[in-house]
Amino acid sequence: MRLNFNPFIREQHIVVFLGDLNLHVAQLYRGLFEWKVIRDVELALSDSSQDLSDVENRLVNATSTWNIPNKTFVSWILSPDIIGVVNIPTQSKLDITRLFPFDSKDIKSSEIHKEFMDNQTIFWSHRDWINEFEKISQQLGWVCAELFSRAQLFQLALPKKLRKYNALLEGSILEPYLHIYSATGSVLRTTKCSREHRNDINRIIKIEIDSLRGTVESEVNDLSLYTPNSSFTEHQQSQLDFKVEALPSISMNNLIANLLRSNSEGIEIRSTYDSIIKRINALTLVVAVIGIGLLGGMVWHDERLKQDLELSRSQMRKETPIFLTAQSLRLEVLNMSKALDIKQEIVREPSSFKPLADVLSVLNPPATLLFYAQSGDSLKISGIHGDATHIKSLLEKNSHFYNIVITSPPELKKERNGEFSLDFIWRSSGISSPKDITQEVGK
Amino acid sequence: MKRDWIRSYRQHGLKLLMIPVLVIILLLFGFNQYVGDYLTHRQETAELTLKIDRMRATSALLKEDERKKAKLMLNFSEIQSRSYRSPSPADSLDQMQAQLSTLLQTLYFENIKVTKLELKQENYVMALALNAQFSGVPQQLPRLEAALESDAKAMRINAVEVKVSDGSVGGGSQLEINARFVAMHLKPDEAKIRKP
Repeated sequence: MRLNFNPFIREQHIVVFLGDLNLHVAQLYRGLFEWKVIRDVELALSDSSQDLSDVENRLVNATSTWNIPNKTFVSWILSPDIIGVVNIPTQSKLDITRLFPFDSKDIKSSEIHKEFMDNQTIFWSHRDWINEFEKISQQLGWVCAELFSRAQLFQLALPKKLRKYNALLEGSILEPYLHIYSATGSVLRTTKCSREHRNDINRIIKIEIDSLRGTVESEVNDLSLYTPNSSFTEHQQSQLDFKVEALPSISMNNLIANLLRSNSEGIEIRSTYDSIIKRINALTLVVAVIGIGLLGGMVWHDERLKQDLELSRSQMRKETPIFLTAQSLRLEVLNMSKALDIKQEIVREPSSFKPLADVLSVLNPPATLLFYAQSGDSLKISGIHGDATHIKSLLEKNSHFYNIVITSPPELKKERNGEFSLDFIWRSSGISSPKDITQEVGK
Repeated sequence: MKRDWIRSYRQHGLKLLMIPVLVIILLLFGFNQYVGDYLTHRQETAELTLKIDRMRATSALLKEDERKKAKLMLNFSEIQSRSYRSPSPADSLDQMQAQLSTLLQTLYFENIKVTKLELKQENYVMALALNAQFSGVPQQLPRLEAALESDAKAMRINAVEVKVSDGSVGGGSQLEINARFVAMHLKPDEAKIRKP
């Protein structure tokens, strides 16, 4: 089986703009979302622009190094003398075939929509012209896809807010092209002003507008006139009855790319949308392959997970008795360790009666201890019939006491004879007998 | 590109998207069928693996814990025999309160008031504390200390306040004593000692 990867290969398109004295050729490729110009060239033509063999020769020379794949689609942008425009009013019951100057079998037109609600613009060309461009395209190894009117190229350059009629002048000053667009931007008229009439553009515009209205009016008030060529503005402003507005400068490449991206339809010679169908089908195939792959991978992994789960459960059952023993032992060790810590914490603080005995061993009559408080190593004593300074010096001589501070005595008795009060720290460097307590407290 | 889409839609209508939509629906249906169970199994496997890892880490400490236990056993046996052992610390505290009250009465202290200190939390192993107020004469204090040292439970005073309550100066002074008694609580099951 051979897979066709053509839909994924960069698709190309050639656009040829055929002017009076020049030829603009652009090579475009289809990016992810839009067409992009990758190469272009401007070629001069001999004076006789009707000589299409010259066009073919120049195209061959210019594009020989462009690596254009065989049977690449080409679109031609042509002047009004090759592509004509017919405008059909809304839901017209006219016989459309009678609008063309040739028999319907001798021409080819753009798509005609019978149910169209708006004014409809139809581009048409004689089959002889079409055959000529198909032949040139074929000689170059390309396939003629579509013929566009020159008016369509500038259609997208117009501003968004339009008046009822909008005229656009472009091309050379000697023989300018005049395109007239509706308020929705559709092409109504396209014509070339010949050398004889180039100074009579006012009249031509009025004739065209009147023919569109169906009546003859002396004034044309509902028209805007645009031009992408600044030289027109300066040169012809003085000669025109209308104010000419210059359009922002847009390169030919951008105009061509915009036309190819747009939904503006010319005369379709070969359908180009087959590539879209191929792309959709190829993309569907890719999505299906990836999706089925992921789904299959997930099902396979799920089976593996089920096996792993079974194995893990079996291991857990096997290891649980050892774990429970270890867990119980761990808890036991932690509790034992904690119990020892708590015991250490309790015995770290001295037993209360030992510091009391040490204090009493220092005090001599008539000093009498009336208050004793111990919390941890900190001791507080108060009494009467003693000199605080003398008691402090006695305590300092004893190695059990340090940080001795004389403090204000509390109100213990009514008598104030020799009140004393001291705070100090006790340490167990010496051991005194508890029996001394009985002899000293209350002395 | 828009032109191509419009023309292909004009030519084929929505049939153009029928196959892609069908493929996506079938894939979504397939994923919906399997993804729930798959995610559950993934989570279960991860949880079970973690559980087994933890079990193995604990089991790996068995030998070391046996050594530790043997090392701690000597000191712990002494604590175990002299601690209050009840199912809850509150029960141990009640026992301690009753025992201390009896002890103080036996030693002829007067105005005995034993208050339980609030248990902030309950653990398998923890310190118990009581506050006791009582009065007596200085000669009774060494007897109290001797009684505590010889008591079956390792009760201990670690804070004391002694005040002389009457104005008399001499050997018969009356003492007002406020002391904090501490001891240890062990929950019997948790404190169970097995041979290492």
